[in-house]
Amino acid sequence: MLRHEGATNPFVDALIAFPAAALGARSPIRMSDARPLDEADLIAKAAAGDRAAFRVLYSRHREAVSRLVYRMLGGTRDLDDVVQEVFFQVYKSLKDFRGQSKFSTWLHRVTVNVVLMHRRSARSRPTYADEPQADITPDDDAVAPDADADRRARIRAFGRIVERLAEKKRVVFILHELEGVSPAEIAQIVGAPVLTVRTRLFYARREIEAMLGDEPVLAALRGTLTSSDASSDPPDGSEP
Amino acid sequence: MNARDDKRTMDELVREAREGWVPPKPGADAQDVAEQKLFAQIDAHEKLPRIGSGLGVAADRRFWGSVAAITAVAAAALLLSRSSSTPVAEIDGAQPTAPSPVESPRPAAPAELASVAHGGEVRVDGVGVVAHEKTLHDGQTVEARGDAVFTAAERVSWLLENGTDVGVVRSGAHGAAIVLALRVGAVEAEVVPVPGGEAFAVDVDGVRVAVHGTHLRVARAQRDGTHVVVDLSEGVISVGTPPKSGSTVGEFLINAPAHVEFSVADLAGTFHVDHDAASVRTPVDPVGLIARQSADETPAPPVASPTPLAAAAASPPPPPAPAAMGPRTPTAPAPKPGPAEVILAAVHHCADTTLGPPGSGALTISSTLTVDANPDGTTRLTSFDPPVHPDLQQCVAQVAYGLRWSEGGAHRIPIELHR
Repeated sequence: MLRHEGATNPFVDALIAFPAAALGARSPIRMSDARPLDEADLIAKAAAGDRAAFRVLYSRHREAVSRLVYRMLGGTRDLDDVVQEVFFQVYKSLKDFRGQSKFSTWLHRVTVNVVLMHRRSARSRPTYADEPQADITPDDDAVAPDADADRRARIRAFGRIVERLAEKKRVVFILHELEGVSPAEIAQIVGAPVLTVRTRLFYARREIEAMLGDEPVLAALRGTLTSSDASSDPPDGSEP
Repeated sequence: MNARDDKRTMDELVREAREGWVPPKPGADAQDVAEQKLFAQIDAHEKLPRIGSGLGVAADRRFWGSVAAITAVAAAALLLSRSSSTPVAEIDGAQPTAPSPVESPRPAAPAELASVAHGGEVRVDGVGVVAHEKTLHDGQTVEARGDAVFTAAERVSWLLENGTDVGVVRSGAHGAAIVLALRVGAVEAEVVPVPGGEAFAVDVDGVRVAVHGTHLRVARAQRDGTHVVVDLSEGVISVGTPPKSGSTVGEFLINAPAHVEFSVADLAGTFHVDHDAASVRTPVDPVGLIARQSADETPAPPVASPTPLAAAAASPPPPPAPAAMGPRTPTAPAPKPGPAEVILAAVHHCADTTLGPPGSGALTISSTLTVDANPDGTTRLTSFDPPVHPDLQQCVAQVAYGLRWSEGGAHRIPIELHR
């Protein structure tokens, strides 16, 4: 179990044996919850204070946590700080993880709570005149190919719309639609009945659809899709 | 437009967002920095978990209570084995020290002047002020003509050395980090680690020394000079450009002990670190200084204990602190138990607490604990061979992670317990 610097470390070996791409191959969207390596063992070791095990957990889930935090924050501002805080809370709370839910569900819950706490504290924090405003998404169109520019513009606009949702609806929308978490798991994460989660999802989608017209690039996309439908419809109007 | 169009548009947008609404890929260096900061925060938390709430405080209190008991047992064992006549008061300084847990965390208070050396004066915005009657606010200037101690309840205590001028960039109101701009002189601080990462920072002409915990001194070599000297006796600091918000993404992340020198005119080109403990200036306990300064005053005003550290410093009588200014002579090293002795005592203590006290049944433990220490002496990994009861392993490992070894590498400690 003990390893010197430079000697073989089973946890490091595990990382090498299961690189990030392979680990995320099952779903590129969701936080992984079924790793080929004995995650339960890692969790137990990390909960017992084993730094190496915790480091592996951190390496495995850092990207997914970072992505969820980014989407929930609506940009990169404070991203690193919040991600660090998530894993700090995970480290402190891991001993309380009883395995009654999936680790990924528990990790989602910690992440969501940390982000919400951060957003609330940020709202009450005084801002400075020279402090940059929140960046919904980085504006790197200047270096993007033209074909990609429209897509990036749509994503930015979509992010702005999601940001306008009420907090509870935004959380479930991001978790379900973007992170691929099931309503039942979201219910555990946010501590609400599944029916409530489904209701929030329904209204979140409806509100976003209603806001599409507020963003010209999204309205244009809707127009494009509609016109392509019309051109592909048979002349007699029957369903293809 | 109809509902079907909206749904198709939404589905398309969601598909694009799943793939494209992701944070920029951080470089390897940025990932390393992030990881270092996380583990520095964890280290600081484990070394001095003085603040918290709810179950966390209770757990921390239990943990540090255990460490204190273990340390005391180990110290006693050492005393007996060496037949030393060293006073117990000196043994109490053995590491790891067990900080007093916070009974009930108070709301974060702004920083205030707690004490000024007898005959000295502190001026805020040019006006002389009296201890306990002046809280600091953003944008003020503070001139210390005499050693002056400031505190922000339960978070930070700092000493402005005689002749120091600082600006208050952020006064720490509402629990935010305290940031001082050091114009001349030196600041020495004792900082309680906070979950957010930084509780205290010192800016020197555009370079920020941010403290993750727990004890440092920042000094400018001369008025308007660019040369800065930092002595870090405990904890972790990051040195870099002050951020608009959030934690300092330091160009340098430094673990104690460290003596750091750099020029603000060329941080990267002049940055020098010496981790030899002998090169680090002997720290001054600002709160201990309050007690000494208060004792010097006649009649002595009641000194509130602004932090848990203050209570610890006030009773029993603090060891004599070295002079705040000028060359400092190291205090005589107190004999203290080594890490292995602390661990052996921990095994007995943990066995009692996790497996039952003596008399509750026959118990035999025969194992070897191997501790893998980092080059800086901190514990990296622990393992029992053969394994022992998980609760016992966890209890002992918690103690081991708080120890500092004289050198890195593997340290094997045979464990034999029969009762």
